[in-house]
Amino acid sequence: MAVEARLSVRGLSVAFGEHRAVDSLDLDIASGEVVALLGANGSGKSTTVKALTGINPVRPGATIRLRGESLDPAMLTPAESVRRGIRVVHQEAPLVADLTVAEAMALHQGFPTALGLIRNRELERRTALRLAAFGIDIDPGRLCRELTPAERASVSLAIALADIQEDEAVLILDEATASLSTEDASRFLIRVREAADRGLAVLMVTHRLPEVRANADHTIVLRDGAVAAHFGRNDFDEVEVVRAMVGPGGRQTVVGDVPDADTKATPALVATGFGGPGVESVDLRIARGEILGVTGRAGGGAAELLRLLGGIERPTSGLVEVEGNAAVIRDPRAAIALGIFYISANRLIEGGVPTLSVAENLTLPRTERYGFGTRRARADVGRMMTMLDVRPPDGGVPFGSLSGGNQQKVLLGRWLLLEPHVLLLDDPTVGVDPQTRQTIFETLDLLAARGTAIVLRSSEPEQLARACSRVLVIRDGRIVGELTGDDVNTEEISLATYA
Amino acid sequence: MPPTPDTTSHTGTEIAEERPRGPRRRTGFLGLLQRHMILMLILVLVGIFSGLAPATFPTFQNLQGIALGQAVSALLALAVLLVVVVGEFDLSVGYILGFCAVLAAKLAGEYALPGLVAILLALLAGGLFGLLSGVLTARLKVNSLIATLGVGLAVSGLSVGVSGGQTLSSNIPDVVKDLARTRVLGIGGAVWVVIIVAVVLYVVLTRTPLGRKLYATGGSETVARMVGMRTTLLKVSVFATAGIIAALAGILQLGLSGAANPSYGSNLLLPAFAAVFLGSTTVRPGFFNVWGTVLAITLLAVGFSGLSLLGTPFWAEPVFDGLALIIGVLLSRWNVRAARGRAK
Repeated sequence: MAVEARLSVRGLSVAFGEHRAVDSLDLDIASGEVVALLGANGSGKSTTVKALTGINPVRPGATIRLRGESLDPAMLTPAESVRRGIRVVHQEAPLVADLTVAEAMALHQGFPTALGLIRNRELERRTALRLAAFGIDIDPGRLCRELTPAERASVSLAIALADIQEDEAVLILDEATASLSTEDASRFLIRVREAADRGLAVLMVTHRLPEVRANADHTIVLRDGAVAAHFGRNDFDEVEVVRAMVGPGGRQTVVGDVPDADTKATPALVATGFGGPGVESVDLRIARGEILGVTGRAGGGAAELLRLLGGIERPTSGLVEVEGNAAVIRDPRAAIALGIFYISANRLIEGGVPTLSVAENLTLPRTERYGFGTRRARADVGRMMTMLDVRPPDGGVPFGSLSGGNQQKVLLGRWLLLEPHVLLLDDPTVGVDPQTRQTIFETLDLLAARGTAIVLRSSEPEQLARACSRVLVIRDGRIVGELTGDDVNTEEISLATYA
Repeated sequence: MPPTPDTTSHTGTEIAEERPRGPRRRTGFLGLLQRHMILMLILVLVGIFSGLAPATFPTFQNLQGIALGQAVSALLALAVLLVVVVGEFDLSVGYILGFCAVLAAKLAGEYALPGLVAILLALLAGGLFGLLSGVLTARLKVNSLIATLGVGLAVSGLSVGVSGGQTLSSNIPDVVKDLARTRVLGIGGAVWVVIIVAVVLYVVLTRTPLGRKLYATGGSETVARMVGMRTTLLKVSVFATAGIIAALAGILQLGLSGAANPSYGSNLLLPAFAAVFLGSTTVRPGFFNVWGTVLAITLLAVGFSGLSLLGTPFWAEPVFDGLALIIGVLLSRWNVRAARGRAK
């Protein structure tokens, strides 16, 4: 190419301790070009974005050139990255809820003032102009809290590019469309595409392959921190992309060592026409001892289904039968009484009580079982801490002081003490170290062998392939597919989830 | 444009997650020192004042006076404590105290109801006001500061209405006076009431599943609900109980002073909160706890009593209380930071 790329990166590496999250990555984005960065969870996408935006420290030896000017990677701070023209739109666009759209934008651009007072009319006029430049029709006087996710994304886009010319900036979309519906996402991406046609350079990080096909000029697939494959606009192929994401060995099926579920006996749980917030209508049947996987894009209904079954959100339609008996799952208390336990992916908010001790957190459900005595509680706590290898092995330390993996073990142990009938796990390995993952999966296998029905959602297809004998694909609040037998492998699950 | 905060998507697992470290249990001498800082301060103050005013301070009469004088405040602080444990605030307890004292005086004095009936009706009224705050907060999700401020204001008006703006002192029933003043083992009845309530609360909060549930609800209502606790019911009960304790404090006040002043109680509210927060720095640091609260009340009372014997004017009491709270909280935070520094 005769003209130098808008952004040119050579030999970018990011290391966390011994582990190289990104290993000598090369990346070029020309003016007016949309480059897609794909990869499975943990492949280094986010780390790359954080390196370019000055959040993750870059290892020496990398060169970053922006509009032909060299950027010292060691001096790259978030503020410096923004000043130089690297702008990001995040998945959860962080807008101050109590400000109007105009004010939110002025926080970045500055307020027009007269005698030190804000000129409101001028501010709204400017904002409206700015939004119109992106074809966005939103009243600048509206409060940010009232915006729909699609509008938030659009406003964030306008804010990101508010004080810079399109032919000077690099825009990074960090899973910006993950919480949008397919139609909203494509409308949003059309705006981005138009900005690119005016000269903007775009790097889009996403899980949605159709978006990439429709918008990207060039696609880079990362695996284990390194580039696994390149695709141009014309040779883009979804099956090939997934194959590159998964890597060799993804075809391997692990069904062999999954215990056979007892499908003939009364199923552990049957749901018919089951629906509620985020779930339209789902028919579901889980056998005792089965590990059922559910998958789908964020916001598509998989995580929401687990919350409904666990009573966290209130179901609005459908019938539920537990062990052949009709049941009403009104709230968590009702679910727990039926032996249905839920473990949230949001460990920070919905995990344990951080100020209480590990022992107290372990015995939190049905504390009255232990009454005034402490001996039984101590025995149960000791048993769980040993079985799950919780570290430190001291029940007296505050739950909040444990590492993510050990917190997850405690949360699992909490329900193991109550002999789960149905266990619902939402992404139980988020932020959990490999050893703990092993412990978690071994425990699930053990539970299943003892007859517990398990529903597992995971953002990592390889984990579903490892643990499940059957995987349901959920999109727009409905089950749109079911993988069984040889189809339960990383590649098929990835395709079904993201395509 | 300032850097947008890093929002890790909830599907992202790329960075191992680091939790903020919670308070660590302290062992050894320093831990002991921290857990009993207030107790030691009390002993030091008693020593100092005994030395400075040997004729007046270390007498049984003075100490009994301090204890009786603080009984009402201590009971009110326990009412505040109970609500704070579940993560809410109750600003109405001071006004409930005043109202219930007036109500009992009015029922017994003007309507000549038996003393015991008057007491029970006053306790019932306190419980109902607490229940109202509880329903507003836990069921209707009104911020507890706002809900109890509203209830408190309304109750303060009702106190004036019931009393006609007068201090009621005629026909205060003997049972009310006896409850507060009768000496058992040389200690006034009001002090015994406080001791009994404190022991019951202590046992409930630290030794029963119910107490565990209350602390869990205060620590994270979301988690408490998700493990099957009836958090709404728990909170409503706590508010109602706090109302009853405040009413009991009002009856003690009536018995001790022999009169019910409609404006009494509201100025006890802030010191009660001060004691609860100061108390959370000791005995079980980081947790609102019964003995910490009682010790904090004692510290404030001993400190001020000594100062007044030495000739400090009466307006110095709130100044002393306020400074003690701020210094206490700062000291304990400095202590935690020092502990963290060592841990690194």
